[in-house]
Parts: sequence; C-alpha cells; structure tokens
Amino acid sequence: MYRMHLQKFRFFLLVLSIITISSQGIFAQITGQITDAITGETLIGVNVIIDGDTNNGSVSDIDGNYSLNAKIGDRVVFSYVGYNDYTIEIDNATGTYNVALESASELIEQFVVVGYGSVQKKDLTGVVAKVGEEDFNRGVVSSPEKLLSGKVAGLQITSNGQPGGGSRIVLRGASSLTAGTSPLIVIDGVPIQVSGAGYNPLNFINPSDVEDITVLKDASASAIYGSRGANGVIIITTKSGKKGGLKVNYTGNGSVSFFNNRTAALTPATYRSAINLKDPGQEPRLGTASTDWVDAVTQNAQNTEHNLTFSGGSDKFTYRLTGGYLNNNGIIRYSNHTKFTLGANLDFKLLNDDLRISIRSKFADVNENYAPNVLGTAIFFDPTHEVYDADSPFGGFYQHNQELGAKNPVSTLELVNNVGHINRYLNSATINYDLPFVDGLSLNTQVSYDLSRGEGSNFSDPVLREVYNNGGYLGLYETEEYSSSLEAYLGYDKDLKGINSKLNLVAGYSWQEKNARTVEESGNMLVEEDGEWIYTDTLDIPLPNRATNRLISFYGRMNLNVSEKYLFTASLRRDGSTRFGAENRWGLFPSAAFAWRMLEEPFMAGLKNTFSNLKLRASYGSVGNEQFGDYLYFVYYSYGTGDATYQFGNEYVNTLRGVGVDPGIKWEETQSLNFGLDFGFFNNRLSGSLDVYRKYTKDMLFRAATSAFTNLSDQVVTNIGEMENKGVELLLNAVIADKADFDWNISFNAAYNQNEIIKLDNADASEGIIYPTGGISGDIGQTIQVLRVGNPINSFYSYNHIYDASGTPLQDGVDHNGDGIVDLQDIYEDINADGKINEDDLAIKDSPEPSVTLGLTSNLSWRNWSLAATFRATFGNWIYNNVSSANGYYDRLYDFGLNNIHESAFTSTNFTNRQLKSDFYLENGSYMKLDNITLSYQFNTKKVFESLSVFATASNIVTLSGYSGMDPELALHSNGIDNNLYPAAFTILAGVNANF
Amino acid sequence: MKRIHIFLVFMVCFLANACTDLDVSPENGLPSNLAFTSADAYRSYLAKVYASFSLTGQDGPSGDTDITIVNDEGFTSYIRAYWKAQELTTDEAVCGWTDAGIRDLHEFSWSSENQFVKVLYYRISLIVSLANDFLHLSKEETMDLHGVPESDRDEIRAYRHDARFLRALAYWHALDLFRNVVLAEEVSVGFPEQATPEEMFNFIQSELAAIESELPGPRQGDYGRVDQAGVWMLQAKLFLNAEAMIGQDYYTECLAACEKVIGAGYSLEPNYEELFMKDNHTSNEIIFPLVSDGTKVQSWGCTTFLVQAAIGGTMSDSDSGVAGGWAGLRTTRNMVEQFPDLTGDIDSRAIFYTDGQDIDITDIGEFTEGIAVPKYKNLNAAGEVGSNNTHVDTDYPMFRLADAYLMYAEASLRGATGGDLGQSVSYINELRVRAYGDDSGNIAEADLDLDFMLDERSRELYWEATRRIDLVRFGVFTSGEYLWPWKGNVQEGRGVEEFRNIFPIPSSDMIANPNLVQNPGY
Repeated sequence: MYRMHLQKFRFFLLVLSIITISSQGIFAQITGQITDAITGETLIGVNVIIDGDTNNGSVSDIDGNYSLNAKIGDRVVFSYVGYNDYTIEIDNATGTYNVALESASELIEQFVVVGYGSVQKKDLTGVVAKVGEEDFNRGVVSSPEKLLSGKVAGLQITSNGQPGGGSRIVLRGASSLTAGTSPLIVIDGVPIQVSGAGYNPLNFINPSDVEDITVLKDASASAIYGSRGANGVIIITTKSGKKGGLKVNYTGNGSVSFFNNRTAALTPATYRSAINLKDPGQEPRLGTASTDWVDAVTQNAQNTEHNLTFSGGSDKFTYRLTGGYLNNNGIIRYSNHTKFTLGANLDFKLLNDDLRISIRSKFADVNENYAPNVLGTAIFFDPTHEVYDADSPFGGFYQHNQELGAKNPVSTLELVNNVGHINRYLNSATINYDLPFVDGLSLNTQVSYDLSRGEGSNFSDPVLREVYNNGGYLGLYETEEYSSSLEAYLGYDKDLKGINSKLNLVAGYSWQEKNARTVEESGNMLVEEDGEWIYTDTLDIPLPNRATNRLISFYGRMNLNVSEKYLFTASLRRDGSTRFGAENRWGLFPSAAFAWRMLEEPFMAGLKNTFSNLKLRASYGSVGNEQFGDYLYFVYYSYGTGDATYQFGNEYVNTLRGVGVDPGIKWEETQSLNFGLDFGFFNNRLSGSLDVYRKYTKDMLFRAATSAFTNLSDQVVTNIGEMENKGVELLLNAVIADKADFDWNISFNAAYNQNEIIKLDNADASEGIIYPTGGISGDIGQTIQVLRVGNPINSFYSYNHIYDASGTPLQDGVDHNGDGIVDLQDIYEDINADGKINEDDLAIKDSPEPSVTLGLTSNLSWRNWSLAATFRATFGNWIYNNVSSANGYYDRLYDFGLNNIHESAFTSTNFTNRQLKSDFYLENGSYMKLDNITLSYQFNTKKVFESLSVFATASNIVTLSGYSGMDPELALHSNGIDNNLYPAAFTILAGVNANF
Repeated sequence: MKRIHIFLVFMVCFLANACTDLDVSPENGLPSNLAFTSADAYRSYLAKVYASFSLTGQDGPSGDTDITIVNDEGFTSYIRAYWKAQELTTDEAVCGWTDAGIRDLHEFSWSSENQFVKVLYYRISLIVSLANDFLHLSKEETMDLHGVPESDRDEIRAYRHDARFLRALAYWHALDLFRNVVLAEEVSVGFPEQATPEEMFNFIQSELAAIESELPGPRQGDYGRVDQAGVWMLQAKLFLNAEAMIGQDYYTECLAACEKVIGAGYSLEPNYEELFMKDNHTSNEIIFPLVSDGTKVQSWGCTTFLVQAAIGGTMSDSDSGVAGGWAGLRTTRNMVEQFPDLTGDIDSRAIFYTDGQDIDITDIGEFTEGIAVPKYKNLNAAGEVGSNNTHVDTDYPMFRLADAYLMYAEASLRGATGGDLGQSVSYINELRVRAYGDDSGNIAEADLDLDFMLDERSRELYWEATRRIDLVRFGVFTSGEYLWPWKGNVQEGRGVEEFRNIFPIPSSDMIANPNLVQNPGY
C-alpha cells in the first residue's frame, strides 16, 4: 500500500519538476548520482541548480542521476525536501559529481517554548502548535492575535471590523461561563493581564515585531501556568537581533478598505409604497428626498503602516530596535486607530556565555476615535428626508419630532466625539545564569513591569438631539493599570548515561501583582469656557475606583527522555490568589504526559522509509481559571453618587450599600485529557497530527440567583456546575513542491468540538434548569439564549413558529387556528398545551458555536514570486438575526417617528408586530471565507538593498454562506447574535519590504 | 562570580518567604468593621433601605444597579414593579409595550419565569436583606466590636425602628403578592423554608406593635422617614386584608388603626390633583411618601415611570412637566365609566386625556386605544416644572388620609366592632365634596354598600397600586363575576384560574433554594 502511494507521489513530483524546470544556456555538462547519505538509496527529483541563476537547473531521474550544463566556478546547489541543501563548486568542466544528501530531520533541532523553558519539538509530550512568521495572516493587522486566525486547529479568533478592535479568542471550546474564555497571553515570558484601556489591550504589541507564536493547547502543556491555564496559553515571542553588522529593515504599506455589504432595508421607492400600503396615516410625515444614509455614514477607509528596524550585534551582544506607525481608519467615518510603537530587544552574554541577560522593552502610544457605530441606525433611518434641515434646532440636522424616535445617524456621528489616548509600557529583564560547580544547573530570573495608562473623553454637543434636553453630555475618564512580576526558577539538565536517559528539572516561584485605578466623571448642561466645554450639572463625581490582585505560585516540572523513545513530563503548580477567601485561596494543579517515539523502536525500522515521524502522546492535567473580578468573596460597603441619595427631612443623605457575595467561592477547575498522534511521511513531505481531547470543567463560576431573603444581592458569582468540551483536531502540512525556485506548502487544520453543560446547581436539581443569557435588542430586557443541562452553553431558546406548507412563517394578526381569538397561539406552538403562549413555551435550539472549524493556509513561491492565501470555514454555528427581528415588521414603520424596515417583512414574514423570539430569526451561520491573498515579488538586486520585495494583499475577499445578514463571522464574535455589528471591510493593500 | 550566585539565591529565598501574602482589601469600598464606626454611616445605610423602595441602584438614574437578575435597571424599581403588579393585572391599566412578559400581566398568563414578577420578588427580598443587615450591624454587640462611640448610639438605635418598619412593609407586600415566602431575620447562607401566611402575618403584626410607640408621632419626624401614622396605616391594611389572606377577621383592629390615623391631625389636600404633583411633599394628606427628586433622587422608576409612561398619542409632554413620553400606560372603559363623565368637570378626580384616544381597546399595543391618564405630573399647580424634565420631583404617595377614610368605611361595613356607618358616610362625602366641589355628589347611608366601596376606592385611589388587592379582597379578581377588557386575553374579558390571586415564586428561586414549595397552580 505505502509503497504504491510512494511511487505515485514520486512520479507526480517528477512530472511537476519537468513542468517547472527548463534548461537554458550551454556550457559544460556535469553529471552524477544523488543518494541518501545514510541509507545509500538513490533520490529521485532532487533539484539541481546553479546558484544565482534560477533559470538554469535540472532534477534527478528515477535512478537518482542528473546532468546539468555549467561552467567552471559555478556553485551548484542540490536541494531536496527533508534534506539539507548541498553545494559544490565546479572545478572540472566535464566532471562527475556524486552527491550524498543528509536527512534534515536528524539534524535540525527545532526548539519550542513551552513556558519556563523550551524543548526540542521532537521531545514534546503535550499538544503544542507553533506558528512562524511565514504563516501569519497578512493585511492590516493591528494586534498580534489576529496573525493567528485560522492557523491553529481548535483555536478560534474572531474580530470585528473596528479599527484596533478586540478579538474573541476561544481554544477548544469555551470552558467557562463567567470567567474569561481567552487563553493566557505570555509575551516574551511575561504573562500579560489582558485588560486596560482601549478596544484591545493587545494592541500595544506591533505584529511586525513578532517572531513566532506558540499555542499550548492541552492541560499538560498549560498546567505549568496553573490557575491561568484552563483556556490554554498563547506565547508570543518577539524578534531579537542577530549577530552581524547593522541591518536596517523597512516595511510599509498603504491600503484601502471598502464597505461592500448589501443592506437589508427597503429602497426609498419601496419604502414610500410600504407607508402607503401599511400605514397611510403617516404619509404626511414623508419627505421628498431619497437619502442613502448608509453612504452618508460610511467611507472608503485609507490605512498606512510603516515599520523601521535596526538590528545587529556581536558574539556578546545583539540588539534589535524597532519603531512602528499604524494609521487604521474604519468603514464608519471618523473611526480611527493610530498607533506609534517602539521596541528594544537587547541580549547580552557575559562570563563565558554563562550569564545571559535579555532586556525586552516595548512602548505603544495609541489614539483611538471610538466613533459611534451608527450603521444600524443609518440602515433603517427614514430615507425620505435630507441629512440637513436649516430650521432644525439640533445643529441643523434633520430630526424626527418625537424625542423617543430614531435619531439622524449623521448628526450622531458629527456631534459626538469619543476619543481615547493610551500609553502602554512593558519592560522585562531576564537573567539566565548557568551556575558554576554544578553542571547543568541554571538559575533563571525575570522581572517585569507593565504599565498602561488611558484617558479619554466622550463629548456630545448640546445641540445633539439625544442629549438636547440635558444640554449635552461630557464624560471624562482616566485609567491606570500596572502589573509587576517576578519569576525565578532553577533548571537542571542531566544526562543519566547509565539508563540512557536525559533528565530536565524545573522548580520555581512566581509573584505577580496588578493594581488598577480608574476615575470617571460626567455631567450635563455643558457650557463653553475659554474654548473648552465643561459641564455644570454633575452626574458622576470623580471618585477613584481601585483594585489590587496578586497571584503567588510555586511550580515544578520534570522531563525525562528515556532512550529517545519514551518521553515523560510531569508538572505541579500551586497557586494562591487574592480573588478567593482564606479557605479557598490556594489551588493545586498537577499534570502528567507520556509520549512514545515509535520509529525509534528496532521493530519499526522497516517503516523508516515511509514514515519520518511517528509519535503517540497521552496527557492529563488539571488547570484553573481566575479571569474574573476581584473581591467576589468579600462583602464590602460603598457609597452611592449624588444623584442617588435619599431625602431625610431637609437633607439628601448619600446611600451606603453592601454588596452580597458567596464567601465560599472557589477555583474553577478544568481537567483535560488528550490522546494524540504526530506523524510524518516521506521525509515530512506530508506531516501532521491528530488529537482527541476531553475537557471537563468543574465548579463553573456563574452569576446565579441566591436563595431569596438570605443575601444582600439577588445574584452572586458562585460555583454552579460542570461542563464538558470534547473534540478532535487534525493538522496536516503538505510540502507539495520544494525546489530552489518552486516551493509550495499547504497547511490544513480541522477541529470538531462539542460543548455540553453537564450539571447546574444542586446535585438533585432537574434537567429543566435554565439560566437566561444572550441579551438582544428590539425591546428592553430581552434574551434569546440559555444555559441548560444537556445542551451547549448559550443555546438559543425561542418559540417554535408555525410554518405553512411553503415554509413561510405564519403571519401574526390572523386567526389561523380559528378559535375566534387572534393571539400568539395562532403563530407559535403551545408546547405545554396550557392554552397560553408564555415563557413556558420556549424551546431549546441550536448553539451559536461551530461544531467544525477549518483553516487552510497555502504558501507558494516560484522564482521571485510568492503567493500566500488563507481560507477559513465553520460549520454548525447558528445566528440570531437581530437586525431582521428588531426591524422586520410593519408596526416599525412608525415608532416615535418614521423608520425604514427590514425587507424580511415583505419577502418572508408579513409580520405586523415584532416577534423577537420567533425561531424564524435563527439561521445557520456556517460559512467559508477566503480571508486573504498576498502576492509578493522579490527583486534581484544587491546594489542598494540587501533585499527588496513588494507585495499586495487582499483581505476578506469572498464569504460563502447561507446566512441572510451581514458577515456571519462577525456574529461569532458576538456569541451568535447579529445586532448592529461593526462591519468587516474588504481591504486591498500594497506594500514594500526592504533590507539595507 | 560566586558572590552574584549567592546574592541571587538569597534574593529568591527572601522573596519566596516574604511574598506569600494574599491579604488584599478593596480600596473602593470598606469592610463592615471599617465602614460602620459612626452614626453617619448608619444613617447612610438606613437611607439605602429607604431608597431601595424608590431608586434602582447607587448611581442615579442608572449605572450601579441593586438587582441584576433582569437586564434593564429601570425595570428593577420597586414602585415600578409593584405598581405593575397591582394595576396592570386589573381594569385600571394596560401597557402597550412588548417587553417580554409585560402583557402577560393584563392577560393573566404570567408564568414563574415572568421578569416583572421576578424583579418584584427580588426587590422585596433585597429590602428585607438590607434591613436585616442593618439590624445586625446596629446590634449593641456589633457596635461594641466596631467601636461606635456611645454618643452616636441613641441616633443609631432610633434608626433600627425605621429599618424594622421597612422590613415589615416589604414583608406585607410579600404576603399580599406571593403569600408563601421565607421569613428571614438575618443575612445567612443556606436554604430556609417558607413561612406560613399566618406566621408572616403574626410577624408583621408583632413587629409593628413593637415599634409603634418608639417612632416619632405623626408628622413629628423627618420628611421621608416613617412615623407612628405610617405604622397605623400599615396595620390598617394588614388587618383589612386579613380575612382574604389568612381567613381571620381583624376588621375591629383595622378600624382602630384607621381611627388613630384620622385623629392624628392630617387633613385632605384641598385640590385632589396636587396630591400627584411635584410639590406634594407639602401636602398635609400624605402620611408616608417615597421620595423622588429630579436631581438628587433619580431613577427610571417610581414616579418618573408613572409620569412618562402615561404620555403618548397626541398628548403634550410639557403638560406633564417632562420632555418626552414612553407611550405605554392607559386605562380601560371599565375604569373611566366609574366616573360620571370623562372631562373631570363633574368629578374632578377623573384626570383623563381623551383627544385621539379610543375608549375601546382592540390592540393593547396601540397607545391611542384606551383612555390616557396623566394623573401624575412633574408640575405644581402654578404650572412650574420640576427641577429636571426627565426625572421628576413628584413623590409617590404610599399612604394618604383618604385611604384611611375609605378603610374606616369598609371595615365598618364588614362588621368592625365600633364601626359607625354614619361616620363612614361623612368621611366618604368629605372625599366627594373635594371631588365635586360641592355636595352634589354626596351619598346617603343607603348608598353605602360593599359594591359602592369597591367602586369608590377605584375613583379615589385609581393608579395608586391598590386595585389588585382590592379586587382580591372583594373576591372578583379572578372570577367571572367581574370582567374587564382583555382580562384572560379576550377582548370582552373572561374568568381565570383562582390560583392567580397570588403570584408564583420565581423559577430562579425554586432553583436556588431546593426547600421551597411553589404556590399552587404554577
């Protein structure tokens, strides 16, 4: 079987080689045979080219023989996938040059960082994925996590189109309800608090400074991070300088983003006829214009980015200094993210290289314009009126007469100014010292300081209709967060020759403290004084809000490699957190893993021709999650504001309130079990891994109702139940071509995950327990999702609409069931048959989370050209189309002023009243997306530039989906609820990368 | 080299020893032993217990909510939720909004998931817990522990009576609305069982008896705080409804409480309308108010809700002293037909708006169907607007003298020992003279019967959150005997299940406390 496939594959390569290689020029002819240096086997399809002349080359034939025209002095390069390149210099015009190539997999030791150290890739026992720069997403990328989207099996990263916007990161399914579900982010060894001002606290890392990103997926890999490992760990390593002379690199690009989503409102003409047909009484309110409000609030956004890097160094000292600038505009006018970044990575080697010191310093200065997302209003604003109205008291903008009606979206955009300015500094120093006298013992210490300062103002002009009655609005805020950390660990490496084993031990201590302080103030009744607006009616007095938390840990890990065949890892971490009461502060997080490199067994020797790697893995670990608020165990009392007092006689007394808690809350704990297989065929021409996992979360924290009349709060964060995620992940890397002038790699990943709530609340509680989640718009206080035992978290929960034979939902206002009463029983299924439609008739539906996610990355290079593309797909995720449900009914035509409505009222539903909880609005959100394509050209020049390339990228190109709303991927970002989301843009970018 | 080595090891050890400290206290709030060291803090905590009836959180009008179980802070206002439960379920009010569950109230189709039922239940629970916490913190031994100076303690001891009254008031509403709830006297962790209605009744009765003589005399205390007359009013209500709630006759006790109120020096507000206007804190009729203030006591509930939600259609918001209307609340044909005419010309208590309003309701969602009721206003009699045109200054009149007159008459009719029907008639005629401007509307003793009482209570006290409990007491809340538009979700009205005389325990509490038993029928 294998043999046959191998032959076919080789034949295929041969054909491919013949197609791609053409010989040119006639000089002398050289010949020879190419073999494997170890096995002596002849190698077919080896690339043979003359260095610097990619037009002149050849390949070895079925017997490993080659011939090539060359001249004396030429350097001939032999390259073959899975083998190291081999170069010879021609000294004999008609000579025979036999070449033996050495297998690369035996020589290259690829190291992977795993937290508190790194290991060789072949020695990994846990599930770890590493993504290097060559595989990163291209385009306008404002923060490092966006480089990874679609690249790692089971890692879902979704962002909206907001410039500088945040991402939702979920690895192997959400394992928490209340606590964060984002993996721990570690930057150059420093665990980062993903909080702070701005849309996305990770923005301060310039993506172009990132060398590679490693994702620790299973508990055995992440358990070394203990209480923060439950959602996995993402380790970002930034680039450092290389030995050599000064190198200057410039990369820059310019791009334009387009809003290309069709909108679902009626055209002005259809809208007029809708009013005429459905609400003729409102015709006098119609204007004469045909305004395209979407056009009035959106723009084709231009972006620019520049990065300049200086690097170099000697044996003892290397440096990399970098500066970056990004100006990122949004599709909504005024929305903008502008950022300057500076970075310095310095590495010193002292005391005969025994002492290594690394300094990592990063700084970002970010300006954000949080322009209000008025797209939703614009789509449905009455199109028959002009933008401006000279008689309007509201700053000259047209407005409806009714205060509660929709507001002119252009006025909101023009008269609101919500801006923020953020500075963030992350500095760390790492000292690595190989202790003398004890061979293999080293001390590693890292101190870090992370400071984030933000300030901002949110101004609404006094003439803005929304705040006209309050004389405008001004809110000001300042935030400051600083974290400091100390990590210290001893590492010990020992060759146990007696048992042919290698031992690595790590034992350490970690201390991290975060302090946060925010001050907010706001007021109405603005007056202008000396050109500045101030408020005269105070809403919030500036009272500082402070919080401190601390995490203290002790940890240890052992790696044992027996005969290069059996790999054992065990780790233990003890974490103490200020987020729990005295009895529950400390948690213990153990893990163990085993891997078996099967190919090293003597009885597998026969398979070595076919397989280049075969490793079985099993791991188990227990990890925690502490991404939630401070003081949740602690009753404390705080005073209210001056507009929430109570009158005693002539005095307005400030109120003092205690906040209820569950004093006994404890760690949320996830146990994770993983079985995996790493494989590689044909010298890793095809490689990959298959993993099966189960994550079981106990003591899930959730904001749940307390027993009434017992607590100071109706709901407190408490441990309520158990949840499971199980799934399969497949990763495949294929090297389709690997020649000197033609390379093609394809990386494919697929993940299946199934989430289920196993238990909620008390052990004897029935299955019917339902907690509402998933707030929606269209009415106050409505939700569309629930937590229920036996179902995935946030499963949709809606009425079963009754559909006619053609699949159209029955329209409301009609006595379909002929009982003489027009009510909801005519259109919804009365599930409990009690003659009423109320909350008891809601039914559990699908989940907003995909069951299958796919990602595909293709990197192809041919001569000076290269082409990279990324595809993503999800299946099984459902979306609640809140845009349609909140706007798709005739009564909406007039609701405190005229409104345009969603076309679904005409095309599908004929609803007169809003039917927010109808299952008609649940749609399959599966999609396939061609996310980005980058084409680059590398110039053949060495005169001015060491290297020079230009590139062009198109992003968010095609999305295939049956979903009727905007981009279904956006809804993933918002838990499956599509409601006035910031639109994703189609972007075209052109750039240059030059090295001096 | 060795020195560096030793230094590093030393540093690590030092830090490892020094830094296992995990005691961190919040800096934006205080633990109780630091918060409660003087009378001022207790005063602020008592203000919170009071404010919990009026406000929704610690940041006006919204932003730091007390109740999180529903996701709109405005819904969590006590009076907003209480008012809906007492009025939207009756002939006196409908609401055109489509918030999940709001129409179920008028349609008699609420379930144990209903968010308006839920929020009322948790608001009552919160007030009880806050009062219990206050009573714990103000115990002598707690004050000893916190080092509260003796000079402050008399003031704090006096606050305890207020807290006990507010707890009794909240429990009274719980008894009326939910009937079978947990009777807790302290904040605890656990799953208590429900008290029987009799136990709850007895508790409220004994609490009121205990604090009655401790509180200031009528109108002697601070405005906004309860005095003896407030206790008497609550006693009167408890006793008047005792038969309906626990099957025992307490009409004589009711009469006695009413007599105390009537003899306490209150007088009817000459102009009925001004009872519901922004300067109603000056009224000599209101016995116990819930305070609102446009700038200092802001929420999206209480009287702000009652003013704004009643404005819609062609109504002018400025006629009510606000900017904007929420187009929700109207009334049914049944209520307006209690009055001789809709204009208020004959009976000035008929504060209706009829322009463009259809008296009949075919669609509850249409504001223009049903008569609008601009009873509550953010204006004074001179037309001056309150301090803020969104959040009103008007206080909510929880207890007022007219109700004492009507309860006196009803208790007398129901056979209270010492009840005087002639006196009852003259009390009622005092109300009617105020309404009619003269004695043309006066009744004779022969006119006075229970049917008249029910109607007269509606004419005098409509939209004051007493209709549901009155209909229950008269036995017609659920029955087919008395119907109103859309009762039971049919336009002509129909009788509904008797179990709907009380509300269900919210399902969330059934989940949280396994020892609870759901009210029958739900």
